[in-house]
Amino acid sequence: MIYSLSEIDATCKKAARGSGLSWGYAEEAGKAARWLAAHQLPSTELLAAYLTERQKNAEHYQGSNPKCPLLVGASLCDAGYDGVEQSIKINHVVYPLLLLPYLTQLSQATSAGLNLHWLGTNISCLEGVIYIQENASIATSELTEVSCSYLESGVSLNKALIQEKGVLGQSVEASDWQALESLAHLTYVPATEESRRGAGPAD
Amino acid sequence: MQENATQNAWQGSEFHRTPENVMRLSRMGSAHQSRLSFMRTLLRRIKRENWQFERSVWDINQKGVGRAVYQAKGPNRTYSLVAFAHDLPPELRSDRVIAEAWDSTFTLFDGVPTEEDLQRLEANVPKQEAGRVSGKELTLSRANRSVRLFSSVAETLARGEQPDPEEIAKVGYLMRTTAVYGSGKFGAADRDFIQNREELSGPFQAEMLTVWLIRTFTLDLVEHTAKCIDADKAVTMKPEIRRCFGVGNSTGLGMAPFIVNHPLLLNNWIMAREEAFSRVRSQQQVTNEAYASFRDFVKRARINADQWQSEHPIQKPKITTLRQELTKFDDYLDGFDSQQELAWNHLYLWAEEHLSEETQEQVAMLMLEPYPELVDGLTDCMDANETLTLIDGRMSVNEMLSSLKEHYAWALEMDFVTDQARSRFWYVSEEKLEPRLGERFDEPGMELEQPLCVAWHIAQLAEALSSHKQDSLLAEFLLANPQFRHIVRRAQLARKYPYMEIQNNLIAHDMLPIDLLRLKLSFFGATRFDPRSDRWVRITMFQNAPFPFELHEQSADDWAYPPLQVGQA
Repeated sequence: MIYSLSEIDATCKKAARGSGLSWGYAEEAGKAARWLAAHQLPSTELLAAYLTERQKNAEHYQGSNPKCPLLVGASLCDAGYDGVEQSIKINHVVYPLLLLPYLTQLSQATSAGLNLHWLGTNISCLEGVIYIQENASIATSELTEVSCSYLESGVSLNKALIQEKGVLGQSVEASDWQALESLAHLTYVPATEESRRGAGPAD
Repeated sequence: MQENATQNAWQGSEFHRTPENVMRLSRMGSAHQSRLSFMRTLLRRIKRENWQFERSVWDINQKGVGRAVYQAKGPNRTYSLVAFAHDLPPELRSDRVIAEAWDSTFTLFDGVPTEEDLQRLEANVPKQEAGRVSGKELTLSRANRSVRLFSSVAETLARGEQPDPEEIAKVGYLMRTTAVYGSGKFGAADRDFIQNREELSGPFQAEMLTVWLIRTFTLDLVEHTAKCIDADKAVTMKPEIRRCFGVGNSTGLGMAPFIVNHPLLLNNWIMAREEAFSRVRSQQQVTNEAYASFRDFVKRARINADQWQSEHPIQKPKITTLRQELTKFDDYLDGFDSQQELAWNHLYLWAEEHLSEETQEQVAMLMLEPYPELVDGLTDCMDANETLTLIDGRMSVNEMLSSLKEHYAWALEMDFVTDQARSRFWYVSEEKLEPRLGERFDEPGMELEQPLCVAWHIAQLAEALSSHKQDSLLAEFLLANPQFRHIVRRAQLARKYPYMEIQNNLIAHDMLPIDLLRLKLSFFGATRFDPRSDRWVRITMFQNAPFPFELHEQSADDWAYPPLQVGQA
């Protein structure tokens, strides 16, 4: 079924929160999914799989050298320009495509082109536009070594490789949506008669 | 994208009301519609651009069941309200968001629907939340009849008589909407899809267009019903009586968090309003024409206040005071020297000193009325780019703390030690996925609290920052304290957006959610706020406004207050 970008954003945000991430990380995860979906790149399937794993075994993905792409992406953004002053290696994150929305935002904020590379995948981002040079492993869930480097200024990229950003929703597999909703469900409180009272018209 | 976060904070002039003054719940709970409201913005545009309207489908049977389509043709695009009328057994008629059946259901279609589209919509729109719409639809809505008034108007028309305006005034509408969903809900088109269209770029324009067309449908339906009762005798309504009907709306607690969850939008709405008001207050001279216009509007606001009914224990005395104070204000105007310099400013300062907040807000919005050229352009500044901004993690812990002291002094002064200060918590209910307000110490679920308790989170953040190494980077602090990530991002925004925070404790035992609702609804252009508890409110929309088919011969923007009666001008 096709879900709108705002449905994808809201459900992924709640799912991320349900998986145990803080509200701040969860907001970012929702926007990351929205951004990927707007580019018709793998989005909900990655988050559905990753957040489900994470919810069961959070310790495995956080800590001083986190494997979580959402934490690593957020840290790179927090460090701002300094974080990518030169080429950096990101050792071992799972679902590396989830880094892309974060790095794109950083690239735009610092007005610098960035290149993201892992074995079988190579993506460049310049002025907010995404160029997919190689995509053999784009949706990998594996623990992956990722390198991120600045593009030289004045570089010209092949426009045929542009992955357009759209404004339409994205088709989502029922099982992925179900997985996200199950996690989102963990953020809801069962209604009581007490809580319903006076919330809206009763006539 | 991220803008430079170190930009200096906005400074208002002496004529701007400060955030400390206007961003309080008591004042927000006294907000009134104005020239900037979204309904008025919509009708001004439609008139200016000479939109054309057509009821292209009216396929409603003797029982009042069927479908209708209203096309609204703008200069660049056509939008169609698709309406489904149902035969709803009385026992299923509920305005609660948890209802599952309605008298009528609606969607605003982007373009002109084909028969195939209509069939798809017929299978989904009547189910509302349980159905799915698509990217071709911009809104999803439903409405229930005001049973008593709908029947009596239909029967009156069927006898060949006109309904009594005084009876109409007691209710004000034939149907009330119980939700108008937009922005990608239930599969509808995202805001991203329409925001670059000039006619829909302002806030809630698709929703307002939906409601305005629904109003036409409700009047057509009552006239149709009258004909079905007695085809020979039934008459249509006189235009001036028709215009007495607005569309009712019930807004519940679920809408209250909206203005907390959309801080930039809130900032831009309030900033536009306060900028408009400061422009008027700073006028050196007031022309006789502007002053005469203002005096007419004061008289019309008095009629509005006289017609405004509510039995709510807080709103009822506020209305009584408003009536008394508007009379007092009108008397004061008799002796007021409008030729003095900065007359508007003097008048408002007098109002601040002598009138309640309810009347102050009314008077302030009335002062905008004579000045379309100063005010109306500001409606272009009321949308917001809500892209999540990057956190500036390179500032020091100490800098962040200083920033909180500068921009959140109001929150840091609050005492959260007592249970009363934290007695509520906001959560999302499993049942309807709607925001709810619980009692922290009496009900389960506080571990699932939504982050709407901004002041409390700010206070906790300040405490944690104080006990952290002062010269370390904020990024390091956030790695160790990820629970503050959302509030840090928010607090960094507050440096640039002075009107984005409601400066009250939103989890206090005496917080009134209806104050949040009223502020939002006043920007829609709602009038006659009638709270039915501390958590939901009934309003009327588009009352006295022209209908689509007569807009070319009517003023687009002279309907927000009732007309002056003969002899009152």
